[in-house]
Amino acid sequence: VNEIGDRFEGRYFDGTVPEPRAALVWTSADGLWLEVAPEPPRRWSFDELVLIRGANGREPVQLERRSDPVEVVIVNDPAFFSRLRAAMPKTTRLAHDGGTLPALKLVAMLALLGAGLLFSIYRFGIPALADFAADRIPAQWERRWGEQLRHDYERTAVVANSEDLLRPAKLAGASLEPMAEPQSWVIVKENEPNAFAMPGRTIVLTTGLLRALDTPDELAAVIAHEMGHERRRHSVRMVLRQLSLQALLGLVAGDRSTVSQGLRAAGDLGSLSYSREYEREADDEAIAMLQRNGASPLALADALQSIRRAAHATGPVVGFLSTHPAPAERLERIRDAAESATVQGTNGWRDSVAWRAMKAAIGSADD
Amino acid sequence: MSDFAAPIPAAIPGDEPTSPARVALSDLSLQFVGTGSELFGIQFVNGILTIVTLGIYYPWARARELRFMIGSLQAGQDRFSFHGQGRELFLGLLRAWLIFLGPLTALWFTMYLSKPGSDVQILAGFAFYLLLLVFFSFAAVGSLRYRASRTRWRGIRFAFDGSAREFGAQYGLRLLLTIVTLGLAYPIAATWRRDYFLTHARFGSERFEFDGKASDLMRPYVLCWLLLLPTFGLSMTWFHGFQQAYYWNHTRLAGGKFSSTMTGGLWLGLAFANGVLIGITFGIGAAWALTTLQREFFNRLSLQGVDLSRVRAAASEGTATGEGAADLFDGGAFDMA
Repeated sequence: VNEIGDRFEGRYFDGTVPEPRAALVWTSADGLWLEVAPEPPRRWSFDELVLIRGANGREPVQLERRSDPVEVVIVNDPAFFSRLRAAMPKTTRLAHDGGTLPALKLVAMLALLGAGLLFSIYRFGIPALADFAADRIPAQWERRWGEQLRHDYERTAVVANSEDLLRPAKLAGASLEPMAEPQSWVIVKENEPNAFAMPGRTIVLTTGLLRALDTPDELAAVIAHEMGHERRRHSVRMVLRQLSLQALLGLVAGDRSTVSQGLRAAGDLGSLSYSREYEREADDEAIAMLQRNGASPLALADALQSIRRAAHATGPVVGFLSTHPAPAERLERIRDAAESATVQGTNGWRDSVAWRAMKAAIGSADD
Repeated sequence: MSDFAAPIPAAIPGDEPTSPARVALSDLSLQFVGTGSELFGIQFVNGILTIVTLGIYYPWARARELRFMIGSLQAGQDRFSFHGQGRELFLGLLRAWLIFLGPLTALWFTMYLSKPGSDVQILAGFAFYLLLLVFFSFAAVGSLRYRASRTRWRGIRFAFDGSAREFGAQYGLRLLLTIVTLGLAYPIAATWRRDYFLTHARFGSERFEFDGKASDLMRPYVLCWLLLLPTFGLSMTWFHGFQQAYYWNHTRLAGGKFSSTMTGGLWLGLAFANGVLIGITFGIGAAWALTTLQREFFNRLSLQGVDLSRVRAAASEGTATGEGAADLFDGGAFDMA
């Protein structure tokens, strides 16, 4: 018999020795009472109690008192738990280990914290980390990677690298960055007006682009923009950002394979669409390069409009324009820069013979 | 209403006195009473909440699971209780990440991205594994220290006072010896580790004692090592069961001696049954497998002839009320011990 009247038999531990002492335990409105002979009854207030086990009503009830040292009482009769609950004021919660479900408030707070943390890592942490790492990656790694990409790309694209088509681009490249290491060029037969920089100093131009542009200055502006991407190592930065993002997602989902998927994706040209932030940086580089060569930054604005006109004719706007900043905003930035620019002197790309030869060759390349 | 004259029971169930002499010695049998369905429920909710909170809930989940696992163990009639808080684990994990995760990630990326076979890759690989060893030393010791300090039985706290530096240096050497000998020196490393962990652990004022010797394990181990391939690794599973029983049978506390009736064959059978259970349920049965293993192991363990009157709450216990932790790793980020 565990219950004597309103009292329950229990075992009491005083927190200094692990030996049990017999106790009688009962409840009243002001707390839990214990009598451990030969001492007089003592009271534990409800807010001092921590329930260790017994909440399920099927096992002995073990209670601890938040005291120093920690005192423990164990009542073998599971019915004691409901007696204790009934004695406690409705507003008093019995502190216990939480059962299976934690407090909703804690979960909501942690979910919010998690989302905030993930967003900060995505928005600030990853770009900062990728930029930091990109500056430390050796140029030969980038070149090797670029060679692999170019090799894969040339297997699927129709390359039209004739000297007539290449010459104006080469002239512009040599004038814009005379001190830099040689630039590689690929002209592909494609109606869509587009240009992009591959890692490892390769610039790809489409025949659609060469057809769309009206002047050598416009071509130089497009090339300067692509060289801007190269200078800032945007392709490396972008792949590092994507890799870090994959790693983060993998970490959250507990799936390490996403990192290797990210590494494979780095070999895919589809990943070469830059963010608006990178396009702005490339525009700024292009404006500075054009000015240094005595050309107006407006050439870039003109080039954009020529491309836009041609793109409307060929279909939906993709490629060179797709991820770029909104055209109006972009044109405004270029015009602002042009206003304060001092344009003087001449440059090596205004070769009308080469330009006309290229325009003539475009027709035959399309046939 | 109150009747103070009510009789107070004279006999206390739970401890079975073994001797009527002046010193009351007790035999305590251990028991694991947790069930697979309870653990599955906890793990299921933990899993969902960890996903919803993008992983941040993990320390709270871990604390909840530890409360269940440790709280399901009883000695005599009384359960152990674990008082660790998710908040403490979270802070410990954060510290560990800040210190170790940055360098480990950087080294891992260097290994992955550098040219295969190059000096950079070899150097980064060496540094990575060295740092990993340091990490595991701190983790093993930090985890034990944290768990012990948050675990009580009958109101008396356990404690662990090992040092990560001492453990790391000594265990690292023995681990190296194990690698160099193609695993043959494993009993030396494992027994030293057990010895270190036990002799630095206390229950209240009483220190655990251990008199196991690696030489006792050498013969069965070498035999299992030789049979590793012909038995498809099963010989090693047998050895682990044998080893666990040996270790407990050479452990003492407060004059009492632990006794385990676990055998290598039983352990092998359990491992096999658990493997099948996990396999056919596609992993869902892991909770049942774990609780079965715990139950079968602890229900065969007892502490005989222990003199509980020798045990006093350790002097430091009174002041450390839960937070403690001057040591960096006391936050208990680690749970792999």
